[in-house]
Amino acid sequence: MENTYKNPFSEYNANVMDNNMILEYWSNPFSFVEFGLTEKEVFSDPNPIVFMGGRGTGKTMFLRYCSYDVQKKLLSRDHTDTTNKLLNGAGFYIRIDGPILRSFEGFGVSDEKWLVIFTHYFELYIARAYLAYFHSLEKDTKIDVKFTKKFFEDCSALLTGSITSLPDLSEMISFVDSKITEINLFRSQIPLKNIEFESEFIYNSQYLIFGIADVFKKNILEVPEDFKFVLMIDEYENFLELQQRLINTLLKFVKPGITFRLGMRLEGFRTYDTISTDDFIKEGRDYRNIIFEEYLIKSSGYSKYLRDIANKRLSKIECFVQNNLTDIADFLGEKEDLVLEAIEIVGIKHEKIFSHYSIDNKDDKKLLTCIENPLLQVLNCLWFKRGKTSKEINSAMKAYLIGAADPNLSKYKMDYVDKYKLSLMFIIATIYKKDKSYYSFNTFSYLSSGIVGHFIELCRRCFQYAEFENKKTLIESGNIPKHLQSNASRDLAETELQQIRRIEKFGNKLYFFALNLGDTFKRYHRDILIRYPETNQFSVDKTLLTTSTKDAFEAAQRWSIIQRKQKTQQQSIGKKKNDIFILNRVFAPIFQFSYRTRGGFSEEYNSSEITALMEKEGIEFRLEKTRVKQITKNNSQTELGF
Amino acid sequence: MEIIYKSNVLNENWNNDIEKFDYFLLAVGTDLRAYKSIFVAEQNKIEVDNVVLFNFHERTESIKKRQSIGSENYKNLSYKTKIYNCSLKNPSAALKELDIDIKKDSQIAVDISFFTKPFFFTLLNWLKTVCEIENVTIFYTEPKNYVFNKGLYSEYHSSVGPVSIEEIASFSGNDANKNDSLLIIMLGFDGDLSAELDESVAPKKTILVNGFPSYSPNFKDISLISNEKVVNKGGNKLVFSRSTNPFDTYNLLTSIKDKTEYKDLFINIAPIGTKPMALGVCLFALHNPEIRIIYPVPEKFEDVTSHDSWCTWYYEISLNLNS
Repeated sequence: MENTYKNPFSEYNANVMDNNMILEYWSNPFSFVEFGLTEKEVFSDPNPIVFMGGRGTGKTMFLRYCSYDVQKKLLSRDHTDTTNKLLNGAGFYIRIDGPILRSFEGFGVSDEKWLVIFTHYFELYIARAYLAYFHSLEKDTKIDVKFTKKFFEDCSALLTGSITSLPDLSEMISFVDSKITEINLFRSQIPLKNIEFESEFIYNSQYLIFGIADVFKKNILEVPEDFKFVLMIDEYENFLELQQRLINTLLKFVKPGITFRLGMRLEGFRTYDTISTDDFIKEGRDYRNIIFEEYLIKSSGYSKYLRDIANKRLSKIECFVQNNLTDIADFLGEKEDLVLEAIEIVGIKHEKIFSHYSIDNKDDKKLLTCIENPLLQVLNCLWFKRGKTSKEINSAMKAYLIGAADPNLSKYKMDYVDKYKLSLMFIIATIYKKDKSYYSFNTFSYLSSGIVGHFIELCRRCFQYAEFENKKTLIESGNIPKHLQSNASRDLAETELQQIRRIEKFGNKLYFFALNLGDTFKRYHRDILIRYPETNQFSVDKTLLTTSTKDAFEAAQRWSIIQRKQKTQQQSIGKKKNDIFILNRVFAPIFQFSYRTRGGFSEEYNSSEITALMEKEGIEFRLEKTRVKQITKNNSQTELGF
Repeated sequence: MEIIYKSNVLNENWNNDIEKFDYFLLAVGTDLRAYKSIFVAEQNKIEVDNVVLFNFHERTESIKKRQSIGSENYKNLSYKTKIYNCSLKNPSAALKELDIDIKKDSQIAVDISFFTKPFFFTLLNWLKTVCEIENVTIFYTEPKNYVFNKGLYSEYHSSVGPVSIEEIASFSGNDANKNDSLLIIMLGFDGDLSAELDESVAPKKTILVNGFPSYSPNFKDISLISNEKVVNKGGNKLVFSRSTNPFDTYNLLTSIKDKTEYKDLFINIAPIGTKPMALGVCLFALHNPEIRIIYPVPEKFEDVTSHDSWCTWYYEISLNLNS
């Protein structure tokens, strides 16, 4: 049976999956998460839609799933009768990789010239996608589409000015390929010698993109009235500013029957300008904006969505199917067991908790001790420090444990269950100088921070470590020990943190930003008075940031190092509303902060403070700024030393 | 088509048939390794008409700091030497502005030891395309050891800070009639880079080339451990090529290109492994201009990634397939 084992999560990138794999692993986010638009609108809405989200949020999977190639496979897999039917439209998945896009600048060629060359290239690129689609329709015996003579003549005329020069689709495709070859040759030679780009035909913007679509709709009788060409351009953030201006112009002037869907990172627009100097595109007026991450983070359906994704992958592995292990919770466990984790850390050394809270009286200690649940003992100490007597606390605790009545029971229960339980665990980890563990399906859902790719990577690492440790146990029992899960989450956090430095622009600033924010939040989690429980968010008025800091800040958003909460919040009670940001929770295992975001209190930063946090020296500033001060005898503040 | 090649270790008596060079191109480096080949030439009274030393301003500080271990020893050369100050980051601009007139039939030597890979790729293409040179003698002095700042099995980085994945200037290839891509990665020790490359190109198929036999027996395994994410990804294929022999890499690439299953794919190669392997890639790309070379170009290369020197290799290469 071991022979049928394969890490179910080893395919982690939708970019490199083939169409069959896209279908196999597809989990429909619309079934679980409310996105503010319907699944049907993704295709039918005539206005452009922008899908924003960090790396791994599922944008590519989503766009590729909507593409004609995958939809056609879907129909054939589900045995839907496609005979004589044209779909109501065709989605074209367009991805031009970053290295190509970046090669269209510099080398002594002016921006204006590069714009002409790129426009020509982009027109040809889309034209080729159209022609390949027509070619597949022509070859598909199930679909009854007659490509009329007039169609070929009009297409040929568009491409060459002559109605007869390109008599069929193969010739047209070869022609377009030859024009793309001219551009590629120019791109290869311009770094070595100063030459001019020359071609018999140079196409203007919209000429082929709108022209060929128009010819198709006009000349093919079988095309339904509402047929749409949907151009789905992925990784829009990779397009250079000049290139974005070109495509922004297309967005602004969409024609009936053609529309655009853009997939991009958050803040992936380098510009909102169009080619015309006095015009720009505006959200709402020219396009709809759907921010994947924000919907996923806040949605209660997110964990169900993740479970569906994981379970689909598990069900492809024969040995797991045979052993009835097709739920990810079989492997990771449903939720963490904080009490057990606390007991494992504390052992028999309960006294240590009292010494950290400076509780010396023997009688008090006797009443505040809770052998079976160290979390309660920490809560008892907290209450004691807040002025309750040990007798009152003991009575409330007993009432909670045995289900008796007590005037303080409801508050005690609320503090433990709803308010402080996870914070108490962080305090125990701090007191005993241990790391808190991050494990279970529930924890991984939170850690992934709305980024499906993080969840898949966490699972991939868990399965890899478990396979290495004991493959037989993994296959037969499914259980992945929590220390392996915790190692996986920590290793991913480390990798993600190190990767920040590799970010093309602002890499080092963003690294220090993450480091300083993480250290700040860590400090809150070590406050044994738990005055600001689970603080891992901050507020800032982005409009007040200086240009350079704002650029770096937006890069932090683009790379999902920080994530904006969907609604503005008060920084704390009585303060004005500002945008609230969280540090991506995937970093939590390094800094030992909470894997969830509770809201409530936020650190508040101004522009110079954000700038300082992006510098190495920001660490000193952070210590000064943080509201949780170092412990001193005189002020009896009780944060533990680092 | 496989090539018949000439590759040998240079000894102190200059065991090389070519004893006269019109141009000897090399880069100023952070230790003596940069000049080992030219010093052996000088000691053996090999005729060199022009030495052109590329002096990259990004390295100025670290070269000054490392004077004591010979970083500035090029100043003692007895040959006619032109110091060409330029930027490492922009080989295209540097070569376009290089004011030397290399004749078509010139005898050229290039020591690639201290050129970055993107730079020497473009340099060799420039010699081929602009100067119309057909054959070049390449020298390469191996480092004795690499710098692993955080321990042998943890992390090695040949660059620091941000990287941007770019086409190496003049190696854009031609994807015109190809719908899908093949990515071939020459694996190094820097595992994050291979995953980044894979994601950036989004190929239909990825082939990973591990340097084996490697300089040191454990390097092969360090490389595999560092690159575990791409190595373990379903569908990726792992093959081996000698890490010290560019022609072995060349022949491997030829055999991959000739395979029917890859015929319709746009070939991308990322030479992030050893320099001799990268030289093999460069040669292959010069002979097959339809393939593309991509590279994670860092904002800043590490000043020092290796220690001391080992053997100096020389390779005779033909820049054109039919020459």
